[in-house]
Amino acid sequence: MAAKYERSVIQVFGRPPFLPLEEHAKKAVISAGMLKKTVRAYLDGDMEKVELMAAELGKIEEEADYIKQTIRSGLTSSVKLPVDPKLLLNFLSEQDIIINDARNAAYWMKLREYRELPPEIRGGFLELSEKTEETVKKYYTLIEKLYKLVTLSFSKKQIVEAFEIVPDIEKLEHDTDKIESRLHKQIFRNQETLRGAGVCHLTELVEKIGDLADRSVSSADALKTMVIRR
Amino acid sequence: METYLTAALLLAGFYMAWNIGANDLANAMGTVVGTGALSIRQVIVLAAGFEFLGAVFFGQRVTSTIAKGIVPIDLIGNQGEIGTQMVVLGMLAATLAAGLWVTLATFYNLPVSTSHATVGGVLGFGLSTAYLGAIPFSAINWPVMLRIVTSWFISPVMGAILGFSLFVLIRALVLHRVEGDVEKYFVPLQVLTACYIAFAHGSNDVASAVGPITAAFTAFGIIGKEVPDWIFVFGGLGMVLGLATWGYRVIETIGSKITELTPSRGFSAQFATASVVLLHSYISLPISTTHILVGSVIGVGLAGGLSSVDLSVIWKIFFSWIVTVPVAAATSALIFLGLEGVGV
Repeated sequence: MAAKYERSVIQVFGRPPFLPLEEHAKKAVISAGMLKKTVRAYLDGDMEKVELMAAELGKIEEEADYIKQTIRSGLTSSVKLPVDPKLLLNFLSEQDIIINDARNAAYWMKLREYRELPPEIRGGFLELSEKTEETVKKYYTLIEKLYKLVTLSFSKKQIVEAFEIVPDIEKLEHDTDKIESRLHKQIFRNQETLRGAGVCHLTELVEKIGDLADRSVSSADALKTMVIRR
Repeated sequence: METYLTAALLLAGFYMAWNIGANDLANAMGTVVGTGALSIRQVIVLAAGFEFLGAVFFGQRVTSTIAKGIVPIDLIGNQGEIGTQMVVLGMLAATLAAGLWVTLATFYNLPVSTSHATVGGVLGFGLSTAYLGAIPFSAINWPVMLRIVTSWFISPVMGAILGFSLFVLIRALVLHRVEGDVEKYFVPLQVLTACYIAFAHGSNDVASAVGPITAAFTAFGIIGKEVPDWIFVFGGLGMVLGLATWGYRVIETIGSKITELTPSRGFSAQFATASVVLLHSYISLPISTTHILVGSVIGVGLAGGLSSVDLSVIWKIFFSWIVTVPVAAATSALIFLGLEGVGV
């Protein structure tokens, strides 16, 4: 490559971590949406589609990992951030788990096939995956809002306002919890037809899907800790 | 011979001026484009005008420091024809040495300062004349040299403190008090700071281009004790040409990469930089605009204005200027002694 005849001050501007953080959060929303579709295909018995979707989720997870590594490598000790880098990394790994959870749930579906599930369990899973996606989406609106504030030299008041979304996320997570426990009961009610392995597999699947909502809440908490302690 | 030397001096000075315009001025203006306040074309037109004004109307003090503040050229020049020749060749050597070093450093993207290189070049010439016995070593104005070097340490720190304070003040008084999109109010303000920074830059950096040739022309008797305006016009034109023919590329590079410098942050960094640079023009000290700009940006960053600043650049700058002065001085001395040796 030919040498550039340029001297510039550009080196003083470290790699800003907030832009890739938002990109990473976007992956979480995409994963949650895709998981909902995977659940639908699974309930329809379309294992081919489930396989495809699981592979796709694995790819998204890899892309998210790449973004995570980029952010991490930009945090050398000479780079000064307006937030504690430890808290930033903590928040990042929480957000990353949402994406991992989606991949894990899809993987779990690949393991066992059902010829036909009782309609109440079917409905429960559809409802659960929808509510989970809704929770992650809500979480993403918080990220979006904060990202805009960061780029526009935000005020403390505006930040506090942005975090008013957090109770909404918690409410949605609470709703998914309720769906989860209802589903658990229905699974055990059908233990004769589902048999031991089926019960075991389905209760675990409920947990795995619900994990996305749980992680959205803890991710929002980690984000709050990072920003408020600024 | 005189004609050739005059031409050589003008060429060397013009080359320095071009370099300053192509890189240093472009850096100062790049941050304005980065915030999207002005287009590149608008920035070039504004910068050209104000750089020129700064050079012509406020360039005398620093130029005089470079020309006769460090090395007593009157003392050397008074020694008849040999003395005159020494000053002329020495100042040619100083400019060539500075130009060479800046060219090399630019290819390697080292954050060197043209002011440091020129001061080093002039010092190298002064030390050579002392080595030849034309003046005693003590005749070199060491107190001025000390003031200059001290200012190289202090000026970026001043930029950082001012940038930090300005941004903290703006955030407390404006950003956190006014509702809605406050940033838009800083866009017209940035047009003003763009002019301010170009003016300040012109007033200080023109000296790196025309300081040595002013000394040579005085020794030649081409100009008198008062430095005529055309010298500054000449330097100003060189810098503007550098910006227009090459600097726009540097501006583009910076403008496209600094995406997170909002108008309020850019304003803080630029206003701080321009003020510190102008202060040094006023107290006749040649400083590096680029280093002060880096200091100011770091100041704004530490105030929480930027999402990240890389402090490792401080060591690069420190290292590059620790190297610049001895290298420019040694190169200048070699060129000078060589020219003297071949009996130009």
